[in-house]
Amino acid sequence: MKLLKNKAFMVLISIAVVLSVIPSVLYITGGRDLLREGLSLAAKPFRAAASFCADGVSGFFEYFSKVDELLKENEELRAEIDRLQGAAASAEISKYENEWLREQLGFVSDNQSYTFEEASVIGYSASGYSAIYTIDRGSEAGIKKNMAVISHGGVVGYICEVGTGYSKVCALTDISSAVGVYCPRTGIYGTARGGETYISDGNFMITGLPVESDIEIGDLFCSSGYGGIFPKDIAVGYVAAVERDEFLRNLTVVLEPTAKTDSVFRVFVVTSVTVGGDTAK
Amino acid sequence: MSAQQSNSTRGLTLTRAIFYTIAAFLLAVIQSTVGKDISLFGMPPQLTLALTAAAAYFYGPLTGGTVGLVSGIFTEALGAVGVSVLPLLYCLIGWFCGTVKAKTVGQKPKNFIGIMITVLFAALAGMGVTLVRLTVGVGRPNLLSALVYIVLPELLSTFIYGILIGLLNLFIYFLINKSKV
Repeated sequence: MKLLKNKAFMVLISIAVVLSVIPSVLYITGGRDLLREGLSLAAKPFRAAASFCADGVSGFFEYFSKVDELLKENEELRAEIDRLQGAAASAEISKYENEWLREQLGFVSDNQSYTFEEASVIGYSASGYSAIYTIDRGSEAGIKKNMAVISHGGVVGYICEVGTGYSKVCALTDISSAVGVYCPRTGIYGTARGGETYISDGNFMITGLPVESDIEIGDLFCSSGYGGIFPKDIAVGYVAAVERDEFLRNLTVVLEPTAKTDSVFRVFVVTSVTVGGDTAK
Repeated sequence: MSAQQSNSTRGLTLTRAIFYTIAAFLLAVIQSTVGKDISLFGMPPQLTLALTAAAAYFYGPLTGGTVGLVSGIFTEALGAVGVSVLPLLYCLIGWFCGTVKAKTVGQKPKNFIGIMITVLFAALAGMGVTLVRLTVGVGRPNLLSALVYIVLPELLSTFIYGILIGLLNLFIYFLINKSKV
């Protein structure tokens, strides 16, 4: 073929093949890709500047466009605070009752405590099927691959790449991500994963549940602790939609994450979990 | 056009290499940082792919292939995890964009229709890249859902931004050539 006789083409393709194969091999074998790390490190100040500018511009326009929406949200939040204060008081009473009952029945408390490494989000890349956060802490802070990442809202994702001075977090909405979840209200267990249909909305789904499952819109799903990455009882998402397939006898639940993309600025990487005196890292 | 002018407007020169490297780096930073904020139809654009198409249109397959290679490296490093396929795929897309342009538009003066054709070709090739990455990364994706919710919106988003980048490149191209005349 004429193209294969083109020297420039062959040289270029050879370089491209080498620059594709070497990082792939390093990724598969768990080695360090210095080129990728170097570029990520070099891009860090630019990404911080781009995030800063983007936040400034969107904040400026939102100031004018969202005033009415913010006032309404303010009213709703005041009402919610009042409701939650009442619920908190009831929860406090239930807590004491629970402790008394545990003591009476001789239960041992499975106390979980975590150690965290705090980090800032310096980038969010959602392209094709992937949804990846970049944070400004890496191996120098003790962060390792497959560590869970959470925020004030709940589960964000897990560490999928670590370098010096940065890490990449695969978000739960990433199609290749999955987390074991359960519903505290009903005790139903499942696996939440990203889906092609929902990635652009920032949602994810649980599939394969029995069609008669008792799930309602607004139910909270938390991490179940299965899978070995995410600790138990961290908020994952609220049910946004329930799709029942009576013919196939299964149920798909669409979850809206509690840690929303546009509100994740600071995250906590769970570096170790202590359960009843035993520490897991 | 004299031979000297013809040579100065084609092929990869050091100035062009530096210009496109910096542009690819900045676009990769934008794509991986605020890509979601500038998304159209729910999907962020592949800006580095659009730049590759623009470079290939104006300066031929060698420049297109080289810019594609560099763009692929930056995009992989800043916005992706896993097996690395973009440097090779973008390099091929850049080369073939330059070839497609030569065979369809030829050496005619740079114009909007030519830019559109080249960007569309690159965006369609980008669809294939996304499907490859989806299959490699996920294993057995739901192709129909992926097509409707990911691939087609990404194609449209990349196409529209590609036109803008192409027009910007056209403007810079005419500025440079006007100053040389």
